[in-house]
Amino acid sequence: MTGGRYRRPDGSHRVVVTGVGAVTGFGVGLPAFWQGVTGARTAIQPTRRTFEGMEVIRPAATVAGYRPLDHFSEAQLLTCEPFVQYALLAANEAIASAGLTSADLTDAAIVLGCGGGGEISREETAIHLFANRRPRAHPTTVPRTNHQACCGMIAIEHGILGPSFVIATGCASGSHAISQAATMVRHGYAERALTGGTEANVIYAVMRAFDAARTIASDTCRPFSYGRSGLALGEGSGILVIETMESADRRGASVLAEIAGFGMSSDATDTVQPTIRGPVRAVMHALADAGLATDEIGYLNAHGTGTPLNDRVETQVAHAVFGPHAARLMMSSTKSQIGHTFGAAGALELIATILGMARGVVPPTVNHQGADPDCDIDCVPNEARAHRFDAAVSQSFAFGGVNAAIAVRAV
Amino acid sequence: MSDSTPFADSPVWGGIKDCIVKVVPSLREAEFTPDTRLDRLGLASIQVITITFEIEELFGVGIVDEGLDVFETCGELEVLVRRLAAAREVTA
Repeated sequence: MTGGRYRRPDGSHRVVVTGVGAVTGFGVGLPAFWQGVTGARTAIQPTRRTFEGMEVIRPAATVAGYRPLDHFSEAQLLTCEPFVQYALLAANEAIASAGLTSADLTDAAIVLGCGGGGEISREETAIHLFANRRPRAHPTTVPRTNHQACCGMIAIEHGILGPSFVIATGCASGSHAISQAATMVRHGYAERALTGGTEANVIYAVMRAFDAARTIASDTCRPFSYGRSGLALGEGSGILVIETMESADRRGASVLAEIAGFGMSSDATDTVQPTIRGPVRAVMHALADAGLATDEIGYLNAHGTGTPLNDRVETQVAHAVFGPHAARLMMSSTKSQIGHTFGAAGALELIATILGMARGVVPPTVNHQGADPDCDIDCVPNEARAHRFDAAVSQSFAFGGVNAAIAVRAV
Repeated sequence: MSDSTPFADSPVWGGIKDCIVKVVPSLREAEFTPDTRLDRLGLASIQVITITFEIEELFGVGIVDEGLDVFETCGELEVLVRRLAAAREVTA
């Protein structure tokens, strides 16, 4: 059978989102995230990290009021870095909001994006071995630094026996992971999947590293704005429950959105300089895969890092893809609110997109202080906008010239 | 410390307990005697290994080199650490 409610034109399954969970700079949980987004607030603030008398203060959005022992046992915390903790908290919320229990997830897949894994423990181990010249590494170094710990922890908690793995493509990890998970559900490798991304590496070494790459903002993240100067670091996790439309209907689940299509591409040009052709290719593939025309897209959640170059190029990408429709397209950056959460970014930004579509609210770009002629798009400056849209795109671009875009549709 | 020093007053045991509490803070108020069996504390294997690491770091000794099966009780662990620390001082 092809087409119709349960199948795509090619006969594969239609894939829908039935649950979401989030941990962000606004705090633990989706309500805090959504209230922050629609309240046009920012969780970014000057954040201090130190090492033996050295200090660095940069804009970042760390998880507000987070106390690990409120959520985890001492034994769990011994081997779980915050990027793992956040993933499990967001997964638990997503599973509950989907109306599922652990028993429903035995055969589910877990596909998460994560850029850096356990950078905190890597930094501590480097200090221990090289600065303190100790002969032994901490025994939890390996389990704490492994990227896949985030998948493993969720599987252990819920007794999930299906395939689980991590995709690490830096800033595009979350979008790639969701695309991969959707592929698996489409083609029957799993009926349900937990997917999204997680990251928690706001540490001294990472601040210094992004400083050296000249990418961190001098004050805060101001995407598409006059006077923008770079990104702000962020941490958190966004997890989605996706499943076949058939599965959602069978159990009477509420559908938040359809993962209608996705596209992936490589720039094949430069490691750090973004191109137009790579992202255009990814977005065009996503639209074609979704069977959506450009003028059907009401909202685009931009990569929107706030660096002078990214936002200029991303504006050019929008014009190249959408043509005259770019003038009507609302295109904002959630990074202005929760910072750049790297491996979690694609997932959290897709969640903002899906909730906005479900609730008739366009997420804003905050910290905007005036139009930049190089960014002649409607970035929904400084206030969320009440406006209904039925289809949207969320896009992520990463160093290395790797790109992913996801198209979602209201159901 | 001489062998007649009460266990609870042993500076070596004090250091060991600090290591245990560093890894498992909830054991801060727990009562320990020389006969307390470490495998009855409900610790996960990774916690035992981490406590051992912390003791090695604090006293500059190599417990793992002796094998983790050479002690079962807190008293035996204290004696082992004391012996290894003394041997290290002689070598130094």
